[in-house]
Amino acid sequence: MGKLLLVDNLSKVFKLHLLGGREVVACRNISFGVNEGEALGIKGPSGAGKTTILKCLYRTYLPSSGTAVYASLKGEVDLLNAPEQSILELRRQEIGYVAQFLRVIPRVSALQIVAEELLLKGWDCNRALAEARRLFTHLRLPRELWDASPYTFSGGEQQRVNVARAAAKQPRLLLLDEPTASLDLESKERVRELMLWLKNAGTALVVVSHDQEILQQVADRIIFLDYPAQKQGEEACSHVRDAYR
Amino acid sequence: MAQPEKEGNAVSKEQGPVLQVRGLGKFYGEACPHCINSTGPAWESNICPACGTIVACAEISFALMAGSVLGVVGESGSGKSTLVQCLYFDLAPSTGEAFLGSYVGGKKNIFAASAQEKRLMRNKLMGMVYQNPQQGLNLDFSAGGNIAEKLLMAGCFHVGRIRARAGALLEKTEVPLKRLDHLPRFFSGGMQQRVQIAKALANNPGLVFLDEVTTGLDVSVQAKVLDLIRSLQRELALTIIAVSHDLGVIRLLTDYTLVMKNGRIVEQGLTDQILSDPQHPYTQLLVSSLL
Repeated sequence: MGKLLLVDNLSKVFKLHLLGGREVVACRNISFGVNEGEALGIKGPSGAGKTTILKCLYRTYLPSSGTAVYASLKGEVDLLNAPEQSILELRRQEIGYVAQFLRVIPRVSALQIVAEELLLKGWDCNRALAEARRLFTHLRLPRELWDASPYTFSGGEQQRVNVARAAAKQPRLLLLDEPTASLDLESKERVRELMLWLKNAGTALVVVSHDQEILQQVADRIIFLDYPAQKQGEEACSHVRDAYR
Repeated sequence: MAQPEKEGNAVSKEQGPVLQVRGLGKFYGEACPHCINSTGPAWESNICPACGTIVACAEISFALMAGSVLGVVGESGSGKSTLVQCLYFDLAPSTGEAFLGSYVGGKKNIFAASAQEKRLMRNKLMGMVYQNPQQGLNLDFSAGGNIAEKLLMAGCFHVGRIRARAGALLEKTEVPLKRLDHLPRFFSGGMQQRVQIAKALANNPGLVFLDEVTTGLDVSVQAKVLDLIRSLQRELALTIIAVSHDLGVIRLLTDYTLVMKNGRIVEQGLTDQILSDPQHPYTQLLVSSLL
């Protein structure tokens, strides 16, 4: 299996102009790699910068420094520095992101939300809807909810829609931020199955989670993140250590 | 030129940007050598202290790719409407160039075109939806007549075809077909806006401008108009520039955003990045002011 993603010295510093330009280090000098089809777990205390790493890779955050070379189907792309247009294209075709919380327009149905991802990828409408139904069936999302907006769903139901949306297009790389937080055992099991199914289908996963059990079951490899600024001295960097199982 | 509509997810194969803008500026006044250097966000002003010229916008450069939606956000007076009005030839810019992919292969500055060419570009290649329906529609022509005007200007003279096209457009924008021959003067604000959208889309334009389209509508109507625009954008793979002071509209519609202040672009980037990780002090203030 070849390298899919190679993150080198990723740092993110927020400059808060409303607080007189105060700088907050979210993560510093993070390096790791992900192979094709591999599942990488990231764990660490709250505030260590786990989510920041995912958001920098997805470019919802503008990284301060570093590179992240991603082997896209059309050649290598540095996710941290590529032009926005290539990032949009990669988001449509290859890279998925499951945010910690589902954020949707209150008027769009659960089915449409999932199908839209596939439409963007160029599928026709009927096929996209069929795939959305298949995923909901698998995730045991109650049928009477399919045409309603997830806005009104319970936390667990929302999270299942959230994962289904990202899974639908079977991205080559999927970034997941606490995909099982706030789920009951049954829903968690469903989401875990879906992650494993994606992995078997060839999707590489980067999973941020506090849930040791999920990480153990899904991840091939787990890295541990410490606070970026807690170590003494200026040269201190986020401490990344590979904890092979 | 009322061609049959292209339905479905027509992903544009066109290479290169639909629109490229370089150094666009619009000045009201004599303009002196100090205008650029002594106005803008750093000065919190767009009035030149040396000559009193109003720099409505300056040094605007960006590119827009096919099928993407560009947001322009900023407070009143930031120059965002001036920008789209220059591009739609409502105003003549003072400086700068713009290239339209569908006009001479994007090789000729559209501002240097003849008046006739500009009129044709405006009617055939572009569509505009203004904040105020009075600006975009003749309220004393029927809804169908307003759409026909756009079709006629683009060279379609077949009455039957015009009526069919107008009917199809109204259907698409969810205006009851029986209102085809009614005057928009007697329409609700939301419906006037939908007629404007139908008119803007009449010739399958490669570029659509939306200038504060939902400002002034009540919330439920706002949502309907935005949903309509969203679904039309998906269905027809429209390329759109949407101007709004409302970050909610920007979040809903756009992939890429320009943030303007005092006539300049202070920041541009992916919309989700602008909203979650704004860089410029003004953008941080703007995002933190979200209700």
